Amino acid sequence: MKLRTVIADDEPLARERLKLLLSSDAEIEIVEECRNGKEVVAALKTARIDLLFLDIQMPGSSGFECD
Amino acid sequence: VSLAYGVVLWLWWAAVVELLWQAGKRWPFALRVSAATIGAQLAVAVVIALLHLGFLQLAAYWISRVGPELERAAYRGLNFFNVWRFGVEFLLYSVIWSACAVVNIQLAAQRDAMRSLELERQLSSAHLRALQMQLEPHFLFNTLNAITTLVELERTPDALDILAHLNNILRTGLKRTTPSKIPLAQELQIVESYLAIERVRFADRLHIDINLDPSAMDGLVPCFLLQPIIENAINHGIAHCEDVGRIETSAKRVGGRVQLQVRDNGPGLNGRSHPGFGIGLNNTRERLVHFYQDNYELRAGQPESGGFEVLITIPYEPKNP
Repeated sequence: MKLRTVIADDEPLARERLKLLLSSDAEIEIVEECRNGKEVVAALKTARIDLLFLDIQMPGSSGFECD
Repeated sequence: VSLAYGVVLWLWWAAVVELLWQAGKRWPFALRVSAATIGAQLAVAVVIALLHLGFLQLAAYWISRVGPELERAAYRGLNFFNVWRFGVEFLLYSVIWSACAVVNIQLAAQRDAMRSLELERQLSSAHLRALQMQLEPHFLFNTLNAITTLVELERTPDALDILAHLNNILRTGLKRTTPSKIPLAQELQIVESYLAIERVRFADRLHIDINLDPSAMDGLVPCFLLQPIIENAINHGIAHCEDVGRIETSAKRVGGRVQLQVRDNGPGLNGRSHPGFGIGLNNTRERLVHFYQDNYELRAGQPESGGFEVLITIPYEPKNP
């Protein structure tokens, strides 16, 4: 079974890079991309997530404040 | 014969001046005014006066013996060792020493002044260079990262685009002798290149509005004046915007002055609690003081409409006056 993964970063290029790095791992399935803390919280509430790549500095609520 | 006598009389003093001067070079204290020096000089004055009188006495004696017949009489029986002659010698030496000391002190003062001026100039240009360089490193690092990612993603045209813009910035910023001032038009090119790079980073989250008054464009501004302010607006303003971040830049000429404005719609002062904020603005202020002393204006703050605004007013200096 694949790991359901969420990527959170406000910079599109950083998300692209992470996706590219993760694409070589067959076990990882990226189910959602988030641009800020709010979207992360929303994503965690709606779906079952195994793995979260969370940027710290993001607009609105930072990675630390996503609770 | 009187010429020969004159030579003994005056060459002597020339030799004394020269000796004093050399002594002053060798032992600087010899030509300085202090109780010890004056005491020593009094002693030297006595010795020199006596020596000179001795020489004069010898010269007179010699002339009266072997000089031309007509003049022998005039020199015969001259006695140089009396209070009056000694006084004159002593006074002359004093005057010469004082003159040497005064000239020496003045030269030294001049040398000191020149040295401190030169030092000040070196310091301030080194300082300026340091201030300019503070603007570079993390931006360069971010940009190289972005280029790496674009290449990895095989977005070659975007990577090339960023490289061209980076080249444009570094061409001005990394010259061995970065020009201290450049025309506003050139500064805005740097700003546009910078923004083009940041637009790749922020994609659709960044909206830029540049408003330019053509009559201000040939005015000289300190190199990299606007760039760090825009960088601040992005890092402390736009980076905190969840929606679209806007940066408005305007430049206009008002009479003999140029007004520059940079405004963003970020969280205003809240976003500026981040450590490091303020370094850019302090740099800007120091550089403005360096170039314009107090003939400038720098205001930064949160306007009523929110966001953050920086206003700079400097004298308009046309590129080719």
